[in-house]
Order: sequence, then C-alpha cells, then structure tokens
Amino acid sequence: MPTEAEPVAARASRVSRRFGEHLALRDVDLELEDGQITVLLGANGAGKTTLLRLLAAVLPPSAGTVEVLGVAAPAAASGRRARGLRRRLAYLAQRPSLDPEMTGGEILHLVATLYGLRRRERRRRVAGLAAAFGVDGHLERRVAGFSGGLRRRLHLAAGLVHDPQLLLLDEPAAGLDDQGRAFLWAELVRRAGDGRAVAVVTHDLTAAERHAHKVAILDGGSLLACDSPGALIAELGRTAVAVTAAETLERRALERAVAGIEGVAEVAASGGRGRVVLARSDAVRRVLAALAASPLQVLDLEVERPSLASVYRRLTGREPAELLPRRRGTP
Amino acid sequence: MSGLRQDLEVVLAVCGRTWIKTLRRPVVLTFSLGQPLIWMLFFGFLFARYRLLDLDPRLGYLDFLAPGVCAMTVLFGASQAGIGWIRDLQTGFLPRLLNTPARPAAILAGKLLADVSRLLLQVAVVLALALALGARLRPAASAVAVAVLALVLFAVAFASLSSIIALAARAQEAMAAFVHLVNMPLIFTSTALVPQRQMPDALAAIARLNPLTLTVDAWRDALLFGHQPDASGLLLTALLAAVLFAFAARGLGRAAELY
Repeated sequence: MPTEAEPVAARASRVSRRFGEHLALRDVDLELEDGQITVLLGANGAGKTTLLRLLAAVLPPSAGTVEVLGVAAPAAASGRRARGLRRRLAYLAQRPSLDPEMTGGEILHLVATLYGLRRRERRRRVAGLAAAFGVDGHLERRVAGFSGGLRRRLHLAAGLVHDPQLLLLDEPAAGLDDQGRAFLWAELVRRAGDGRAVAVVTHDLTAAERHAHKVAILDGGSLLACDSPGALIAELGRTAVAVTAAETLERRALERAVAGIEGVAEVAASGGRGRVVLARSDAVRRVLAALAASPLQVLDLEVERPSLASVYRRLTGREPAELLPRRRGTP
Repeated sequence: MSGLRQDLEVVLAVCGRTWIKTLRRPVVLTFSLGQPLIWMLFFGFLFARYRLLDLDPRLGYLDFLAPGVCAMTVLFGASQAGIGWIRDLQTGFLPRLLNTPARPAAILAGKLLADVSRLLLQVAVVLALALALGARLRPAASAVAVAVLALVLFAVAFASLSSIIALAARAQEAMAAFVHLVNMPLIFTSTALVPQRQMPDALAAIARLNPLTLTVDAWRDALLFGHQPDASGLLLTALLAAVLFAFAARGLGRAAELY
C-alpha cells in the first residue's frame, strides 16, 4: 500500500483493453508511486505496452478505470485538462519516433517548444539533456545518418525535455550499448530519487532486480504478480541447478539422475541443457552429487540462486529468453 | 506561458520545421514549379488563337490563362499537403508531437502556414513567368491584396481537405488517387481554362459552385481589371476553409492515439 510519502501518480483499477476480438489486457490493477521505479515484465503479447499506453492516456480502457496525476479517465480528457496532463507525463514508445530529415538539435528544440518551454529554458534543457545522453556532438547532423543507439538516445532526451513527473518508458534500453544502458538506469534512479514516478518495460532482469522498487509480471494480458523484487524472490524464487551436457539431454534421464532426492520440485531439459528446480535450497549438495555420479555426460553444473528469472519462469512457465523482443525474420 | 502565446510559438515552430524540410527536398520544389510552367506553355500556345467571347477584345488567351494557372498551382500544391502527414505518421513523429500539450489546431496551422506561404511564392514565380511569356496584366494593389486573401483561403481549404484524406487513409497511394480524382474534375469544371459563357450550360452551372472558379475569378478580376473580388465568393471560400480546417484539426487530434 502506498503511504503518504509515496502518493500514487497513476492507478489502473481492474482495467481491460480489447482490440476487436483480441483481449490484450484483462482485469489488471496497478499503482505507480512517486519516487519509485516500477518494471513491467512479460513476453510479447503479455499486455505491457497496452498497459503503458492506457496509463499514458493514449488509449482508453475497454473496462475498468484509470487515473493519472489526479486526472480520472485521462484518455477522454480534453482541453486544458489534457494539456496539463501531457505537460507532466512522458510516454516514450518502443520505436524511436524521430524525423530522419531533421537534425538532432532541431528535433529537441521543436519538442521543447511544443511542451511550452521558453527560449532560454529550452536552450538550457536541450544542452543539458544532449550532453547527458551523449548526443551533444550530433545536434547538427540529420537523424537519417544516426546509428540505432544514437537514435534511441535522442528519443530518450526528447522525451525528458519537459522534466515530467511521470515517466512511462517502453523498452528504453533496446539498442543501447552497455554504457548507454548503465547511464539510462542511473538517470531513472536519479529521477525516481527526485520524487518522479517511473514505469519501465524491460527484458533486462538483472537491471530490474537491481533498480526496480516494484516488478509487475504480466502474461497473456493478465497481471500475475506485482511486488518488490526482494519480496517476489523470497516468495516465489527457487534455487535451481543448471546442467550442460555433451549430448542431448532427455528430461526422463535427468529425472532418473535425481530420483529419490527430497526437495526436487521440477526437472526440465531441452537440447544439451537441463535444469533441476528445487523446492528446498538445502537439496543442492545432494543434487550436485547425484548429477556428477550419473551416467549423463555432464560438462558443467551451475547453481542458480533464487532470482527474478526463476520467479518469472515459475509464474509464466516460460524461459526468460522469451522476454527478448523478436527480431524481424525470426519466428 | 499564456495559451495564445504558446499557440503562436507552436505555429511558428511547426512552420519553421516544414520550411526546413521543404528546402532539404529541392526536387519537390522544382517539380511543383515545373508543373505550372507546363500548363502555361502547353495551354498558352495551344489556345493562343482561342477567342474569348465575354472578355475585353484586347485580352489574349495567355492573359486570361495566367490567373487560372496561378490558382491551379495553389490547388495542386495544397492538395498534396497531406503527404507530409503520412510521412510523419510512418516515422511516428506526428503522434509524438500530438502527445505534447500543443493543440492539434496549432500544429495544423503551422504546417499550413508553411505550405500556403510556399504556394504564394510559387504563384509569384508563375506570374513572373507569365509576364516573361508576354501576358499583359493590369492589377490594382488593393484588389490584389484581397485576391491574395482569396488564394490563401482556397489554399487553406484544399490543404485541410488533403490533410483530412491523408489522416484517414494513411497511405501515399490514396493521396495520388485523391489528387487526380478531385483536381482534374475541379479544373475542367472551373473557369481556370475557359470562360464560363463559353461552357455548355450544365458545365457552367457546376462551374458557378466550384470553389476553384470563385478563386480564379477573384484573382482574374484583380490582375486583369484591377476590380475588387466578389465578396460573396470570398465569404464562401472562407466558410469552406474554416469548416475543412476544423475537420482536419479533429482528424489530427485523433492521430495522437497512434503513438
């Protein structure tokens, strides 16, 4: 429950969203609090982007209610109420939305003007953000010549030019290098520290575990869990032993290898890799010994401590690798 | 920042952006200047001996044609205004701009201001070309000022209509069809190329209601005779421009959902 020190910036209550026959979001409850980073996790089609667009007042819900920065039914707001809301929130879509024929500087100045910043303030913010996001050396160049990472940085800088109270970011780190990702998360942590509410769709479980105050896991349009990473891991995370074999591993063979060991919850295998999930972490030693002594041609054994990955796996039945966005041309 | 001042800043910023893009695509500018040149040369020489029954006998067809080609230049340029929105929808830049506090009407006004000012420059080039080809114009300054207003209103009306089509269809192919399906009938049922009295009765009746006729006549009255354009025609064009602008602004506001 949010306290007085953490007022709710945005609230979705029992929201559903339908696109024709397809139910993209089903009865979801979510609160975004000031000063907190909320990470939305889920595979393609889980409903993360739809939820973010509902909170950004881009789409109205088909059912349920949304309240954002004190504005009820924000997608239906018009006139001053809508403009006031847009002045205080930033929604950054997954795809960098930039005009390739304009220069980086022209885009930043145009967006800042549309947010109502006065000339002096505009120049100060544009210079500050361009430097912070590492695009200051590219302000005179046309976006058509930018690399993917540079476009992403410009997209982010343009989205934050009005210093929003609520930040809704859809995969903001996609296409960024390690340095860019580190900078992005540091910036989000800093803004949350300044009292801003931040919601991020990401597939970076490590960053989510490290920086999020709250993680919401969605699958098939439903919210499966929402809590702090620590609480989720404590409640749902499980220790596992990952097995790498020299040949194709069969689930039955792996089950036989650990048969009779108390505390084994689940066994899975695919290709040359397998995983023995434990309901009790004190079973690790016995499982390791049994696997080492088994006839399986084991190349490597690795103990996986309870993590968000194991929480995600347990809740959705999917591998965290499925969180990664599909590339064009791949099934 | 006050609402009006903010709107004005948005209009100027979007206008500046549209001009920058226009200047970075000189090919488009060249083509849009080439087209009136072709109209002028082909029609001017083809109908050079065409007798104009209800006009001053001292007027040649080229004199008559020049104001018509000016209005046609505006028609063709304005009816392609929507293509820019389609490009902006494809990059996602337009929905992004529409999710700022800027009013859609201010964004639209900025784009149309750039488009209309470009078209007026093109009209000036067309007139210079007509004079170079031997057209004899007898304009009066005050009448030309009002006729320019008629041209501006006509450009706003058709640029708004083009924007409505573009925002609804969201495909460049649709714009090509629109340009041909709307412009050609408009031109051939107007007084741009032929005086109304020399049209068959049915066509003349249509021509009277044609907004292109209203604009061409206003422009022709001002340029050839120094007469003030007809106020009722101006009013009708203003009404058409206001209604189409309002619909285009509404369509633009709806495109915010596409972000």
